[in-house]
Amino acid sequence: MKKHLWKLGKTLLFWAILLLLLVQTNYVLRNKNLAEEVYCFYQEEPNSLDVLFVGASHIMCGIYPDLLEQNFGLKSYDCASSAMVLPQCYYQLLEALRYQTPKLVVLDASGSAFGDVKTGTAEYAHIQLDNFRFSANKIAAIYDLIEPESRKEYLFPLIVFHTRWKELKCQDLEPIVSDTRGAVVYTKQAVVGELPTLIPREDRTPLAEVPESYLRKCLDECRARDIPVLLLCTPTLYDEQTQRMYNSVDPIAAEYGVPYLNLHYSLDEMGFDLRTDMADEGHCNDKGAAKVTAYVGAYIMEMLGNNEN
Amino acid sequence: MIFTSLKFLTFAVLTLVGYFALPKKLRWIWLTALSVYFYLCVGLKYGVFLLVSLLSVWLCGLYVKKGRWVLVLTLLVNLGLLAVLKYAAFAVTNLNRLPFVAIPVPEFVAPLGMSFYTFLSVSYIMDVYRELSEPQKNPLKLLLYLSFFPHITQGPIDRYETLAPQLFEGHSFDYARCAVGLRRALWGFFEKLVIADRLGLLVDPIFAAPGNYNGMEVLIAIFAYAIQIYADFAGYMDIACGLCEVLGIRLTENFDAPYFSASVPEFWRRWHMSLGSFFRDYLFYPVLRSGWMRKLKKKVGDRKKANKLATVIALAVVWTATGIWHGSAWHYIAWGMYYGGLIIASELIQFKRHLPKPLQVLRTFLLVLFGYVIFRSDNLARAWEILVQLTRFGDSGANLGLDTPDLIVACVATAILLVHDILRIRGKRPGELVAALPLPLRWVLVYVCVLSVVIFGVYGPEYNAASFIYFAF
Amino acid sequence: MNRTEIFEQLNEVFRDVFDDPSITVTEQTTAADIEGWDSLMHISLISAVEDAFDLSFPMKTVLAMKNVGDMVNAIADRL
Repeated sequence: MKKHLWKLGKTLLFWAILLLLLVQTNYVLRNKNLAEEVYCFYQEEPNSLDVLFVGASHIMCGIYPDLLEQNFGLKSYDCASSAMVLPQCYYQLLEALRYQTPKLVVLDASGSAFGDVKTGTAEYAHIQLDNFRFSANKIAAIYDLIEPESRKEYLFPLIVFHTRWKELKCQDLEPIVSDTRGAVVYTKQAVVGELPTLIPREDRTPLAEVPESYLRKCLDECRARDIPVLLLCTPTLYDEQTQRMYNSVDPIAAEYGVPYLNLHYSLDEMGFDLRTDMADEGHCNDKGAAKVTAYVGAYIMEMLGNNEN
Repeated sequence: MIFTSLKFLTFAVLTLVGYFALPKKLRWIWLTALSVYFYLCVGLKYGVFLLVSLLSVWLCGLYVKKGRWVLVLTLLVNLGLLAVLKYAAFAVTNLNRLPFVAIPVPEFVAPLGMSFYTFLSVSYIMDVYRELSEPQKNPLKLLLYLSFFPHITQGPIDRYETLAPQLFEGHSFDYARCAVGLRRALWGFFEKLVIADRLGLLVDPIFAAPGNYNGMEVLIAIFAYAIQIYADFAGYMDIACGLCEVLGIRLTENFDAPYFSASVPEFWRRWHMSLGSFFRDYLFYPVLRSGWMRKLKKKVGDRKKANKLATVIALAVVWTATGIWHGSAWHYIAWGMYYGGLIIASELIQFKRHLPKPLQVLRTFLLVLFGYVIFRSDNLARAWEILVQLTRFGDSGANLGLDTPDLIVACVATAILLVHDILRIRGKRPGELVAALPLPLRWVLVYVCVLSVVIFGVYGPEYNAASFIYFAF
Repeated sequence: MNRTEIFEQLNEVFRDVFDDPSITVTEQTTAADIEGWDSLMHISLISAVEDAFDLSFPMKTVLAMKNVGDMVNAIADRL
């Protein structure tokens, strides 16, 4: 009997060490480009955040949680990553809500312009999903968002990344750190030619099926947990077609009774100048982000104040 | 299902778990069910041919005592099916070269493993006829022997007498044996994914368009192919044998440090050994001892000359058959005849063994490399092109399919394979040596091997899917 | 013919086939003991033995022979 226990113990130890080695190898070899936003979220203390911002790169570049805390005392995090479409946002939201009980969730409405896709390109899908901790939610996300042939590449990213052994750098061995709470700071200034015409707010195209269904899932989830939602669209230099897609969120917002802050229509109020405050077509630079954060911060404080009453 | 795929790994785990979870009496049924599933993964329609073979062989076993005609009929059915499905297109294409002949070329596809299970069938019925084995009354058990998934795609070709009892008897789980088996399978993965598939990236472009490369590069490609095909085939064998070892089933060996042979006949006693012994027992001996051969020998008179003539004829038959078995194309037949010629020559001319052993080994290896040029080329014209390119000097300006880091990995991994074979030639068994190491060292070795396969293995979307070389047979 | 006589005649066959007058076979002699006795030579040897004793061995018997002792048994059984 003792011999069997010893053998069992040895076996378990062997496989445990092997698993550990594989997990470490996976960490070292995987592409950690732009990983900080999703990865460093887990370093926040559980149930300590007041606001969660969930969305794509527009949110990361437009909202600086540090400024929000400095000026309004609100603790927040940009749960965002590049080209994160609404289906991905849904799982990002679920993931965040596993660790946090925020007073408010701010959803990026720019996902409305991404079309009927479940993820951005494979590179962007990896940037988000590879940085999720292993959990039932991660598996659910992979099975929902990724087509069957590629699923194993997300369950075992080593399949894709093991070839990086030729390009390893010192940074690959170091832990991923960040102190911006998910924000990405751009300091450059876009060269702007002619400004796009701002279309009337009622001018909209119907929202595509996939983004709509996942937007509703996000809103339903927050409703079920009794968390107020704010829909947000940061300023961009995009054309009229894109603007129409951003406006398509209005009816849904009205249906759910959640405010939709489309900042394209608040530029003057914010003191936002499209010529100096943008880093490129879609993203704010640091000057612009300061203005957006201040404006949105004030709006949030009012929302939260009203909720308490 | 390719052995080095996640799907197969899952399948193998399922096999092992199910095998040891079931009661001993049912274990062979589990193996049969899995083998049928494995086979039908390629397509339900191919199962029909396997079924025909199975039925013919089962009936033959039961009724062969009625007369030799039963054996002959069954052989005709099985070998006939193989001949038609695999070689009809080739035969017709060549017949069409004759004037006034224009037969539509059939588009048959030979089912998975047909070359192997047909040979297993032949081996079984001939052994029953020769009273070396008792006929198997249970067709499902015979089905397991024929379609057993570790050996159906690439062999080894085991004899019914040695394999069948092991298949039908349920074995107990043995911890040490399981470790040995898994380590052997891991080594197989290393050979296949790190060595063979990597070298394939270098070999394939050069054999596809030799005109773009200079003599040195072509020579490197031929040498690399020798390593590639060995690592590929032996790797597959190691995975199959390793898995079977865990199950308590010992498959016959196919390789014994072949590139260290001192002569071509010796090479063929160390390379694809189960095929060699199959042809020896079921073609060579029958030809030599056949009635018409006896008549021929009587005609010749002088006993020594008669024996030599008989041997030469039998060797010619066997080596032509070996060439044909490897593929339905002229260059395979030419390759078979090349080796047939070398072996007949070594029979007729007693080469004085005056060369020191290392030079004998080198000479043999060079002869083998030449054979590979014929074997690997798409056709004889391309083979000739390659031989011509060997004489070309100067900078070709072409890139080798592997960059420097990959080449280094290939060289180091090949060196490890070399050490493995050197141990074999010295009579040691590397698996036993590893098992005898102290535990921490053993574990470190395994971890290094696993990580090497995971990191350096040629798999995943960055590489094209590579398939086993002998898979098409 | 008794066993000794069979052995004597068998010895002659061996010496002839392997072209070596010094060969003396015993019950335990196997292919490993005589240089040149490989699978190719084995068949020639069997042929010569069959001719010398005017016998014909079935395949089963040929494949079952592991040493000269087995060979002598096979011969004795058929004489």
